[in-house]
Amino acid sequence: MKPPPLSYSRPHSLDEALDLLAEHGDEARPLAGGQSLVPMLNHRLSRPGLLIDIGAIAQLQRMERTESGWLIGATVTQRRLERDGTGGCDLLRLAVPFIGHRQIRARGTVGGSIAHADPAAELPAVALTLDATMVAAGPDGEREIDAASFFVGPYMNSLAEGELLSHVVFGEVPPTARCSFREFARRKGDFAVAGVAAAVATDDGSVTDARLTAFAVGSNPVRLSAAEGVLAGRSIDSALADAAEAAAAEIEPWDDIHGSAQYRRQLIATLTKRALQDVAP
Amino acid sequence: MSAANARRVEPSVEVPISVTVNGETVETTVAARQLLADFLREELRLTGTHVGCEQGICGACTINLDGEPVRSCIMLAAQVDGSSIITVEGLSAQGLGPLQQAFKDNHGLQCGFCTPGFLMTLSTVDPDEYPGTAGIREAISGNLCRCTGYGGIIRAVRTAWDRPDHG
Amino acid sequence: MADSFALGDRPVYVGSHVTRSQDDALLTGAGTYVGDLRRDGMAEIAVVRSTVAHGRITAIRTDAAAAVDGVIEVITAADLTDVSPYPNFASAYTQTPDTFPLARHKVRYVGSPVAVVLAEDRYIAEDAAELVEVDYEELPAVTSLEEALEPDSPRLFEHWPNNRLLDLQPDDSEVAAILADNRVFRRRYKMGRHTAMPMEARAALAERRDGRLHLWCTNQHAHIARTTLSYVLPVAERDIRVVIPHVGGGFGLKQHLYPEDVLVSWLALRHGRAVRFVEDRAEHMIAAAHARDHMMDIEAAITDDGRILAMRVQVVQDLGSAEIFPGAWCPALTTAAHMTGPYDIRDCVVATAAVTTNKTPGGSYRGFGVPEAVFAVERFIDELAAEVGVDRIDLRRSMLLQTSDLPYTTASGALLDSGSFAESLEKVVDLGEQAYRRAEAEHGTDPDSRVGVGYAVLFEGVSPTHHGASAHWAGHESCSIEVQPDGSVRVTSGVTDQGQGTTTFVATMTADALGVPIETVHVELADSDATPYGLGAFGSRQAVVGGGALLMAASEVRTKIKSIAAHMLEAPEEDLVIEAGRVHVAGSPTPAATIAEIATTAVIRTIDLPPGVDPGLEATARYEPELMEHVPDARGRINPCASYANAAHAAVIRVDMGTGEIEILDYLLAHDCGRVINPPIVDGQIWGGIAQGLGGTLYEDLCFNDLGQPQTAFMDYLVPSAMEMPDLVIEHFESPSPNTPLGIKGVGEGGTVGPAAAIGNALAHALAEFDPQIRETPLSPAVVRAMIPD
Repeated sequence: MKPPPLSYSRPHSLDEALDLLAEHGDEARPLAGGQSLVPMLNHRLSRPGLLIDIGAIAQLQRMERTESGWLIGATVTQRRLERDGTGGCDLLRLAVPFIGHRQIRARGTVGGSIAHADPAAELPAVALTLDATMVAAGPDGEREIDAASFFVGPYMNSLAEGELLSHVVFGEVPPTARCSFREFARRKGDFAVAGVAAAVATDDGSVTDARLTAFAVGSNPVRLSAAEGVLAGRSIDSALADAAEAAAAEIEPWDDIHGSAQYRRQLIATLTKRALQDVAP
Repeated sequence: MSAANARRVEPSVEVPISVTVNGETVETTVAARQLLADFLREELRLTGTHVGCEQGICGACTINLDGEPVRSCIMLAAQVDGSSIITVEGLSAQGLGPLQQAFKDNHGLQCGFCTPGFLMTLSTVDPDEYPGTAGIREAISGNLCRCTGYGGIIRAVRTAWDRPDHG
Repeated sequence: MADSFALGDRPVYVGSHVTRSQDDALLTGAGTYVGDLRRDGMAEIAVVRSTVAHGRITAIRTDAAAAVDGVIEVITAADLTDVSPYPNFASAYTQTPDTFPLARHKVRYVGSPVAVVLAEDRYIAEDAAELVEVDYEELPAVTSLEEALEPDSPRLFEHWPNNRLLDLQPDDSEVAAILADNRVFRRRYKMGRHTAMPMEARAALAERRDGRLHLWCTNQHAHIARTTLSYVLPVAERDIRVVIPHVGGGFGLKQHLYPEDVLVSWLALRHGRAVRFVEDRAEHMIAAAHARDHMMDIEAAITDDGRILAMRVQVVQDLGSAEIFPGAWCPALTTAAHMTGPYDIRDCVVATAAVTTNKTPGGSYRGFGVPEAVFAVERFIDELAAEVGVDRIDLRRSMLLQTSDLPYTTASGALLDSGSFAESLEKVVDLGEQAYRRAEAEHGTDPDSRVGVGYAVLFEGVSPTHHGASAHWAGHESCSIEVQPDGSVRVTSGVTDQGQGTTTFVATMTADALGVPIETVHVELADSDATPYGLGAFGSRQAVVGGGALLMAASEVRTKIKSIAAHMLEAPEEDLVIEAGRVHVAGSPTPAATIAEIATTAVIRTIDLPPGVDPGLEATARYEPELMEHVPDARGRINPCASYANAAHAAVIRVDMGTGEIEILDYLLAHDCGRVINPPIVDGQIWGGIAQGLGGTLYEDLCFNDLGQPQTAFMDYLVPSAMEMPDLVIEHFESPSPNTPLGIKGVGEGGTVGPAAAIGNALAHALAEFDPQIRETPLSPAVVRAMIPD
């Protein structure tokens, strides 16, 4: 389990990184924290001719509040979010501890996790729930991609050739919204067997804004729009069972050694119910 | 992320690095694809860092990298330019430190293969971030042990972190 | 037991917490595991492994691999012209698989070694291994024991009449008659496939030095490994040295002499340079021994109140491809020997089959057939109690062996000479019911939870004969003690240490048996050049059999110390005591002779020896337990172990009704391994054993698809972390065996054998309203959730 032969580079600016990407095309692969990529190299499931280590590019390490939300640079580590806080982004705060273990979060990055687009990963689900904007840097400048169109398949994103994920802007939720992050994994720190992220706002007991995302139950994290629809205008308590049933029905899970598709539907129903109980006023 | 003073590197199969390991500066050139764990073990002969899975799961290869516990089997040696590393060999200047002594006194190890990883995780994290016995379990959850069932390890950490039995 | 097994005059270490001498090295990174070793000019190998489960090899092309810069050689089976297949000493009652270090003509599992690349380092070796092209004519794969039992299933070994490597069908007419005359209860149980998964995978480093082969490896037996190498390689045994440095856990998996051990040896001899193999975790998942994978069919004649009058059992073990040495059918025999549990069931007949499938070879793993038996018997009793409407504890009480029944010979021939079966059960029932009431109080009203308590009571053979597994070696162990002129002591023995504390018990017992400070004892194990021939680590045997040999050798040395001291002190031998390295008359500490003075006399100033006493202060002894049997009698009965430990387990669980997850709220056990040498080490063995037992019950599962492709990568092989492992409450009983040295029984496996049964019974209790069928492990959340209606 040793990486295949490869070259390594470490640019100091985004422009240098983009130049290398342009020059080496398909052969090149950005290396952020490497917590998914290096295991893939060790398994020889990935064979880039050139690794572009983006870890020393200061521009990618920004973390700041902007008008449109909480901006996090691609190479900000998950540990930094855990240690320095998530700037009031409650869903992110709840989700981060579920990412692997401390040792993984120490190196793993926000951009790396999102660009890797593992269907069972936490941050893509948070991004989808918060209608995040992914900002891609390319030869022609920056391009915004909304979360819903960023994840296009298991381990596949919609970045174009020559583009790098520069940063992510996590959107705001209404001030009254409450968040929950529920994940079922076999062991602490394992990838989810199923998970639900929720941000729900209510006014006088009625749901005014419901965002529910299921992950690890299909090729991508998916907004539970049917369940969100069920909740609209109702009290969480009264809609709980219907929302859970709708959520279980609208996903397209698959079988693996940890459970059948049917089991994952049961899990999503359970987790949806529990997440909604968490956010009930 | 990588240390801010990591130097710029043009594409190459050989990468110059400067890294502080257990207080000593090492200047050398590594193969671009060499894993950090292999660099420590095979080049520096610091074989206390063990390799248990090479996929970032078991935690045996955990080291202290710039103050964070990190799995050295899923990092490239090339990435540590400008960084500072502590391995189990650098944990105590002489003999056993308090954490190591607590492991010995509480039978916190059997085969000892996973032990350096546990020691490096525990010596790197802030105990206050992991309160109580539940916190100890959480702190070591990224390190697998197949011998002890964790009983002796948890007792050892309680001793080292001065925690009562039911904290 | 004979006096020769007595501890010394003033034992101070046995029974106390002696800390381990190797810990200082292991805690500072100074341990030396095989993978830590390097030699000048060392090369490394990567193994090309079969990617198909069953197929004929039609071509192997190695040219591209051999041309890679840094590659020294690429070999296939065709190159191993002077290598012999592994022997099969059990051919009288088993069929013989074609066990050879590299696949010849056929592959029978994904992971089977097909070719080897020898290169300057592992990176290059892996690069080249990818370039070796192997063509297969694929054959249909047999992937389950049910399939393997079918008369028309594809055969792994074409010259066999079927896939049954072992098929023992004893005469069951007596039991059949009892079954015919009584009410009969039947159940089938299965235990899934899991394995040891030591944190250190396998490793070996071979070197030609002074014309001899030196092999550093992770094997659990220095001498069995040496002998086996001499059978396979064209090298005389005197020219082979096997050394086992620090080992990162064995648990039985490292009992086998694997192909890579032979291959690095062959390559080192051929090229005259050191050759290292360090197995990576991906290959460990498919190429190191798997275990369990048993089916147990039980039919019992019962009374109306549920008591078992007689049992007829069929045990079937899935061996995988069976290409492993020693062979792996013995767990099935061990399961068979434990099918009555610690109950008074006089008539029990067990048919035993071990079948080949296109999966990784099964092998040894902690528990070795006993967890399977305990799971089946203890689930059967709970199901039987429910069937006839009696309390499950009362049903056990009505059949359990009492102390007054001992010694008791089980239906399979095991001699239970001591134990605390009833006492241990009562203890855990008491604790378990209290814990269950606490759980009820806390979770009883939560609609998302159900709580339950389950029990298991068991006996477990310890210190077994090796003959069941190898049909070759038997059951002895060795020890040599040599007092140096300065009074320090060097002990060597055939026992080995994979982390379980062997070195420490050897030092502890030697110090007490000689009456010297433990700091003066140096223990040297696991170097076949330096230690007397012994069998090493398996079957929780080392403290029993190694301890016996040690006490015998120490007794001889002690006698000589006293005879020299008597001469020096001019006192009668029988009045002398040895303590703290000094010999004096009992009750008067001076005058005294030190061990150093006595040893100097014995080894250097031999002119001062008393008349008739030979020079030297050393002894070597070998011990083979007298009552241990190696071959069954005509009726298939055998007492295969030196002794039998016992335990009772209780698990209190909460089932999450939404996810199916089992949370262990309390895990309680009462354990009896006879006399305890080192309490923390005994507890450590139990904790570790329970963790592995729980892993196999709840988390760990080696899955294959219909094509025989392995489905479980390491990230999916769920070794429990500290977050999954519960706290334990351990109660100790000490029922010394009258038939072992100091009454010691082994403790290495006791924890592993109970959890499947206790958890299974707790789950049945928790979900009783749904009448769940809990007859297989693992009990994953998905499996449990399927028992719960939506």
